[in-house]
Amino acid sequence: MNSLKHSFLLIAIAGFFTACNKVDLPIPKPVEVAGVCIFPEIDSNAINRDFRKTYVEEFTGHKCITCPANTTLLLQQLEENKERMIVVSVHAGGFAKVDLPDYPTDFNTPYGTDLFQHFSMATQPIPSAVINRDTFPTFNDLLVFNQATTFWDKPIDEANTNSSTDFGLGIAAEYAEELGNFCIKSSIEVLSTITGNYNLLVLCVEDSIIAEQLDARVSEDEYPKKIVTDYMHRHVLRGKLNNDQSINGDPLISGTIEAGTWIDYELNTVMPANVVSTENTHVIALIVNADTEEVVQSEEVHVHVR
Amino acid sequence: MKQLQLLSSTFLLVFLCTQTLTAQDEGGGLLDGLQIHGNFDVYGQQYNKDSIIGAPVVPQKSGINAFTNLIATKGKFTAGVRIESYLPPVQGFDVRYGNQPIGVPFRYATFKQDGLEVTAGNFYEQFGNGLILRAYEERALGIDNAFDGIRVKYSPYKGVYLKGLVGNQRYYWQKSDGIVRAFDSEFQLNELISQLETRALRISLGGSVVSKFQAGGTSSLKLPENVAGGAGRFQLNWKDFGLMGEYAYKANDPTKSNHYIYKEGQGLFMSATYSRKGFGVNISAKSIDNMEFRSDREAGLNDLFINYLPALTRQHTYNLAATLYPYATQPNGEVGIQGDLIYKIKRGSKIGGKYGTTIQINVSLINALKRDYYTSENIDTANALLDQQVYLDADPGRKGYKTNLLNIGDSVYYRDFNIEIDRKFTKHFKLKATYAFQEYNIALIQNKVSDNVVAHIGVVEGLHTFGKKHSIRWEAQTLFTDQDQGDWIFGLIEYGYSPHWIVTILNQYNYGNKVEDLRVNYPTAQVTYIQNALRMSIGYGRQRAGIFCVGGVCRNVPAANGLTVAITSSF
Repeated sequence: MNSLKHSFLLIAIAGFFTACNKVDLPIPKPVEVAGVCIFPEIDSNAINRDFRKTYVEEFTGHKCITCPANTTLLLQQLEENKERMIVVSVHAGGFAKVDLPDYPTDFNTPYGTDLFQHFSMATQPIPSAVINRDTFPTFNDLLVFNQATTFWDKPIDEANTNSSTDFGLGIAAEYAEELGNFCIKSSIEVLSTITGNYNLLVLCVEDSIIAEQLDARVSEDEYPKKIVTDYMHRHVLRGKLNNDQSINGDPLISGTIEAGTWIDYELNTVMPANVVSTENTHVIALIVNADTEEVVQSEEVHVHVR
Repeated sequence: MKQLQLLSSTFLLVFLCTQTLTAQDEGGGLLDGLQIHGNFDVYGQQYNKDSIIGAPVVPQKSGINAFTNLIATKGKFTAGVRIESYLPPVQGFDVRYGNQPIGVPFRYATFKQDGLEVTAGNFYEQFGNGLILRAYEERALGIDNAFDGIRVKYSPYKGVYLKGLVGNQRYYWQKSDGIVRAFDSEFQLNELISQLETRALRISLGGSVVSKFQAGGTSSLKLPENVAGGAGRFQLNWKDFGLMGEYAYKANDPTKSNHYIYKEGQGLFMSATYSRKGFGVNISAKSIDNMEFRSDREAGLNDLFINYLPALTRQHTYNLAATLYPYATQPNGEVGIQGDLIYKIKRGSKIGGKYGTTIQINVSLINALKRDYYTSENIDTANALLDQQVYLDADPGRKGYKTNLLNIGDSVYYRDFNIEIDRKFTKHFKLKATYAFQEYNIALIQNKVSDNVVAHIGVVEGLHTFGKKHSIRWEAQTLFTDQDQGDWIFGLIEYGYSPHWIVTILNQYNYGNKVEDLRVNYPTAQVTYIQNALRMSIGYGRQRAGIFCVGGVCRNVPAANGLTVAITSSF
């Protein structure tokens, strides 16, 4: 009987010492409604503060027969420097025109066409590339690189060696497919006190689009007229996401700004209608010196689709 | 001020007791048989400027840590106090000890009768190996997580031992916000079951539950205010063999150090031993995940730990091996194994020599626990997202990551292989030689930007005795590494004049430092006087910055240049 009493006592005591609250949902899921953004968080620790990333705009077109070989070289260079480089393929100009029945896909975008005209690409051989929208003193102050001038690999290598930047730039993007909310947040850390006018430009690109491409490297036995119908187009510009009409994006900084300042930029927009697969979309943020039009920092993020 | 009043009251109480004792002694009074004993411990440092070794400038020019224990016992009663003073704390000890120069942070009264023991006030306690609860004082590390509350121990039957406690933990000169409630039971089956009393197989089983309460605070998260954990253990001994194990589990316990995840914690510790005369072998293994259990979810450093995770690394004693790259247990996750072997080659044998030779080999391997994070493959990014305390689509339950206790990660935290050979050559000369190989994840343990440190350490120690009173002990140590501060050498010579005096001179030199200006000598001289329980030492010289660890728990030791004084005594 005593043993029984002691056992009950033990169980009662043990019960007293086992108080515990189990929490299944530590924080409620935010309620989301159409047209209202819940902006994603940016991991401030993961922001690059060590160097300026090299932003390359490749001007190309599906009817450009030499383009695929040069794109392959550019993608190799990107693969070797993927932490330091961002590449966008801008389809514009005569080589990018829709031409039925062989070239039904339209990769043109209003912003791509604006850029094509802005850099006077009609007077340049295609493919051409612009690097950080900047000129290179060691390469005859060239802005546009192509086979007629200097090919772009060497200036990209040079740009990839920089080891400082005035801006840390982070970006996050979420697309709520059912509601159509495309919510983009960018955080900018000013790393040194600077004076000037700077804009933030936000672009949308889509990767790995399968469509036709003229390619000099293939055999006509396999691909009649050398048109590769299952060509994978990489990093294709799908449009500018900023709401304003400027080629350089929205004003971000005007005047002097102290080192250590953080600026948050939020954009509530819609997914460009030409996007085929939202799963393959990326958003690119560019800090552009509005006075010189030079891209001083850039960052790319894969869109998180919900 | 309160503490000073308490201190005065304590002295007054002791004084009155003594007076009463004197007054009533002759008549065989109430205090017959009262015994008062205690001990005294002072450690002080004086600091000079020494920028080359990175010694911090100390405005007070000195620091003193002093402790006095007074314990009174009479029959079934024991009561005690500990007076502590930090004027200011010695460099390397938490500055919060200096928030109060002197006080009585530890006082208790215990009553013991018929298998029942009740303690009110402060007490230390350990359940099993400590995986779920251990309150202890490690003065050399500045650790004191004593409980302040009530503890009851009771043995209702022979072989059954129960403990229950409730209390707050010491937090420097304050108490923790959290309240800890705990219960432990242990069953010695050979005592409990009469048929097993004389069996060679000895079996012990135990189980514990611990729960802490801390109010939720202002976080955006719904925090569990009561967090419970439990542990089960066994120990088997059969002739020369021993086997013990303990498994601990902790429910959701979001804390600052685990990035507020709600994942359960688990720990497993196993140890097997075999020993006979002249030979012993031990193999221990453990795996722990998210088992940092503190009474305050915001606490860091070594503060307010409820539990203790046993170290699986050798506690080196030689200077270079012990203080440059000692391993600190990673309570949020690690997997480790350690093997120890000791073999004494018989005296008089060809290899053992006239007096015998002892060989000791120790190996420890500690790796990360492999984790698959829900939000990102990159651990820093995943932790940064968790720290933001926002809803995470990929991890709505904030479990953080997936793993299991057998999921050994690739990241090496620590490797130590060491061999020690100890041989007495003549009646008056003994030599000990040690080699250690260490690989040390300095980025994790010391937050330094570096690859793992790979170090080779060699030590030779000699002891010569000259008659009954005189002895010379010397040490030569060297450490080779390409990482961190590069190569070191260390030399020590010590003269002993038995039984009272020891004079020591030592120097260490960082001759391999890549920065030429940091190739510095650290000479020190020390004189020690011993008289019964009294030990006094005074030294002067440079102290190298390093890490000091006891049982896998560490504190930083800053560089210093100056005088050191240490006095210990007991009565």
